[in-house]
Amino acid sequence: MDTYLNKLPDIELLKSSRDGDVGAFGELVKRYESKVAATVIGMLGQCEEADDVGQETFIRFYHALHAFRGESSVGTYLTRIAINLSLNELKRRERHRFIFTKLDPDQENAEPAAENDVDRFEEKEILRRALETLPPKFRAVVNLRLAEGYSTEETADMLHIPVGTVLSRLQRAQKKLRLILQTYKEGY
Amino acid sequence: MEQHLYNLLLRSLDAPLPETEQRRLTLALDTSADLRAMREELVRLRTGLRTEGNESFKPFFADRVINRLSTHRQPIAEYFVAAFRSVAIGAAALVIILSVYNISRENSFTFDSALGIHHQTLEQILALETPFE
Repeated sequence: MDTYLNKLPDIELLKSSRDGDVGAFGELVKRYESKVAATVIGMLGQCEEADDVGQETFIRFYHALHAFRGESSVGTYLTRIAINLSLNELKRRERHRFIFTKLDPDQENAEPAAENDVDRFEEKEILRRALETLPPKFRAVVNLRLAEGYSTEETADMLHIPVGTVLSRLQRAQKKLRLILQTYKEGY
Repeated sequence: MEQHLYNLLLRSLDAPLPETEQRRLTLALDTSADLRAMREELVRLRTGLRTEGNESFKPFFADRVINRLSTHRQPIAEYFVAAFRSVAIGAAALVIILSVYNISRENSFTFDSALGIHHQTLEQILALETPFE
C-alpha cells in the first residue's frame, strides 16, 4: 500500500486526501516532513515545541486542503504555514522569556557559551546557536533566504513584507551574526 | 550597502546572473574590499546554515499527525460556523435595520412590532374577506 502511495505525484495524493483518504495524507506528511522540520527547527531549534509546531503545520494543511488551489507548491505552502506558526511560538516564548533566558531574542550581543560548551560545538552548530539569538523577524528571513534557498521575492511573499524589507533585515541579520560569531571566536 | 547590489550578490549565489548584471557585480567586487568580504561571509553563512534535507522530527512523526487528525476531527458545528461566518455580519445588520424600520413604522416598542407581526381579530379577518364575496 505504502509503495503504491509513494509513487503517486502530489496532485493525486492531494485529491485522495480531499476525499478523506488518510493514508494518502500520511504519505504527504512523510514526503514533506524534512522540509517542514528544516523550517521549524531552523526557527525554534531542536526542542519539544518544534515537534508540536510541525504537527500543527500538517493539521492546518489538512483542514485547508479544500482551499489549497495549487498556486504554489505543496512545499512552499507548508513552509508558509510552518514559518507563521514558528513566529507565533517565538512570540509566545518572548512573552515568557524569563523562562527561556538562553533564547532571549533581544540579546543583541550574545554572551559566549561556557568554554566547555564551545568546545563541543562544531562551526555549523555554533552558527545555528547564533541564529537562535536573533530576533524572530531576522531569524525568519535568514532561514528562508539563506538556509532554505527561497528567493528574495518568495521570502517577501511568505512573510508578507516588501522585498526591500527582506533585504534590509537580511543585511542587519548578517551584521548581528557577525558580531555574535566574533564573540564566540573570542571565547575560544 | 546599496540594496540593489546586495540583492545582486545574493542572486549571484543562487544562480548565474545575466551578462549585464554579472558585469556590474564583477566591477563592484573589483573595486570594493567590503563587498568581497560581505560575499565571503554570505557564502560561509549559506554553507553553514543550508539544510541538506536531513532534518527530521522525532520518530513516527507521520503517525502522530495522523493520530491527532483522527482524534481531532473538525466538529460539524465548526463547519457551519465557517460556512456562515462570511454572511453573518451582513445578515445581523439586515435584521437590525428591518427591526428598526418595523418599530418606527408601528410606533410601538414591542417584540411583535419589531418582527412586523400584526395581531388581528377574527372579525377583522372576516371583514377583510367580505369584498371577495
